[in-house]
Amino acid sequence: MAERIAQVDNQGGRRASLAGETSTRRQPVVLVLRLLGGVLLYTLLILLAGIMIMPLVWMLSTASKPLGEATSVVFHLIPKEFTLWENITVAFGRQPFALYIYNSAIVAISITVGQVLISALAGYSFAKFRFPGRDLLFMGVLSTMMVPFFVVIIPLYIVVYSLGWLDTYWALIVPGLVSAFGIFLMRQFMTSIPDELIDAARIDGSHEVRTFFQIALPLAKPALSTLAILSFMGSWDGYVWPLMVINDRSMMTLPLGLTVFRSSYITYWNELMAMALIGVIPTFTIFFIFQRQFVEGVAITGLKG
Amino acid sequence: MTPHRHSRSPVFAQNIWGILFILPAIGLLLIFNIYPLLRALYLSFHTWSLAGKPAWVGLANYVRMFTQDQQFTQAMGVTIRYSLGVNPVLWVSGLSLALLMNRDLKGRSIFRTIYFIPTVVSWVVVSIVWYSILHPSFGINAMIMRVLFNAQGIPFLTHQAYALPMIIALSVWKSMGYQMVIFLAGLQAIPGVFYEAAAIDGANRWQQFIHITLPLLAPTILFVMVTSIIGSFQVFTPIQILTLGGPAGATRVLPYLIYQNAFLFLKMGYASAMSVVLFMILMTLTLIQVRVFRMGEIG
Repeated sequence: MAERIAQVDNQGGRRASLAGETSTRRQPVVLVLRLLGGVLLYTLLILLAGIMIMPLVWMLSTASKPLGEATSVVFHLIPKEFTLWENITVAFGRQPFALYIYNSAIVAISITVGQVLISALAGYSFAKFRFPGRDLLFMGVLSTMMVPFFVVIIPLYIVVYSLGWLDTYWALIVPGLVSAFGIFLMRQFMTSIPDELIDAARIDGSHEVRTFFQIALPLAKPALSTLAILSFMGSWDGYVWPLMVINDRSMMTLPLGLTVFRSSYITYWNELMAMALIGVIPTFTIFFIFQRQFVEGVAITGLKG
Repeated sequence: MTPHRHSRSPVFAQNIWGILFILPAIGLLLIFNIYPLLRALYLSFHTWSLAGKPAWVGLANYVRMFTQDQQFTQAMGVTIRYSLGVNPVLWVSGLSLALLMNRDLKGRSIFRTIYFIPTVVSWVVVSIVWYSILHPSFGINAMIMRVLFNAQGIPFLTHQAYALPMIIALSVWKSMGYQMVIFLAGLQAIPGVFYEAAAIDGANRWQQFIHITLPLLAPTILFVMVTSIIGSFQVFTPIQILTLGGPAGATRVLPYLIYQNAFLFLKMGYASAMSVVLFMILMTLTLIQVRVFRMGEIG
């Protein structure tokens, strides 16, 4: 293989010099065309980047203005009057946003911790234990990923309803604790942990649970953090399920609270944008800090799927 | 692998632990995933409004859905149009962006990050922001109309013909970066040596794309296609926030109709039947796609 690559390099070199000879004759036209193409390409890319960012810039700008300026037909990017902080404090007074944020935090953290733990346990078991029906069961777990949410949503609601969990944290947290994708991710990663390490611990008389917590988990940190990130962001932003099971204002999560704020007879757009900004901050922060892991996690879903 | 001479009990004990470890996951899946699926099927043959007991009606729900319910027919049309509007655009643009980002472009990582940002923002926030942008009185909509035409902003979301295209645009805006990232990962998994060897053999860029990139990217493409179609048939949040299914059902996609039937009209049985139909549609679409790709591989 190395020889073939070396061969490729040699021949590439020879080719390049040949190409250089022919292109020198047509050089000016080719260069200008290439330059134009490059400029066009960059223009398009920058335009697209602008379109991607524009709504968020709009959100930031509107969030920092007083209501009159925010809803006027005349638009200035930089607010004439910078009132971001006032908007936030007034909004907190109008609706129990602090409560919404608190609820969202409780739900998101519980689901993240729970999902990671349950998926890690199951993934470890599928990867490192041998028991009858193991592979069949794993296939079964994977196949549940094919079931669309909207198919189970009604019976799920009924289950929650009959358990008396409506308008409680239980309804928001428990159904979200298990994730077939999480199990899949953990199992894929755990299979790459050398069996020898596990066996050595077993021979040393280590309890299975201890082996899991002291050897497997630390080694699985990359997968754990990827799953934690995806879990947190998914549960923090969750809207459809809370919409269905929560009616009590005091139990609402932030996404729900944002939409309710808009239904009042006069919509305070500037304050709404400010609170939306706050809703976006946790996910944005995680994204920027853990960018590589996050993108890798997203990419893994595509490669292994 | 060193041969182990274990007596019966340690292996057996291992089995017990293995089962114990998966118990929470399997238990939760059974209660909150498998059971609801079966219950949905069961409920689809009944009518129920959450009061009293479900009443058996056999296939009546399905018959009514396909022969009498105009809302269902409309919703199917809307959902299909939405899917056709969003998906091909996403695939082509996602792949194109990924191909561009895979080359040595200046500022590549900045572009990649910026394109991915809409994916990071939640659907709720995206919908609320777009609602204000499209607002006829003060959004960017109003501003452009005033500056260019000295007119009022176009009421996109309350206009029969424009509402769905706007939601399609929103979804494309939000998901393009995500698809780009997945395609990019697939592209980067293709060893560069293949391209070099092909270049030596005289293949140009286009030929390299057809004969190296596409075949090796096929699993990724299949994955993206399947997941984005499944996702597009479950779109809900933008519709709930932007149009509530209006105007006159122009944006009422199937999931939204299911939601309305279950929670507004309290027709749990009928809504369950619709969700079963949704499930069947998605299953069929997925199987077709997998088949097509398998055939492509062999051929």
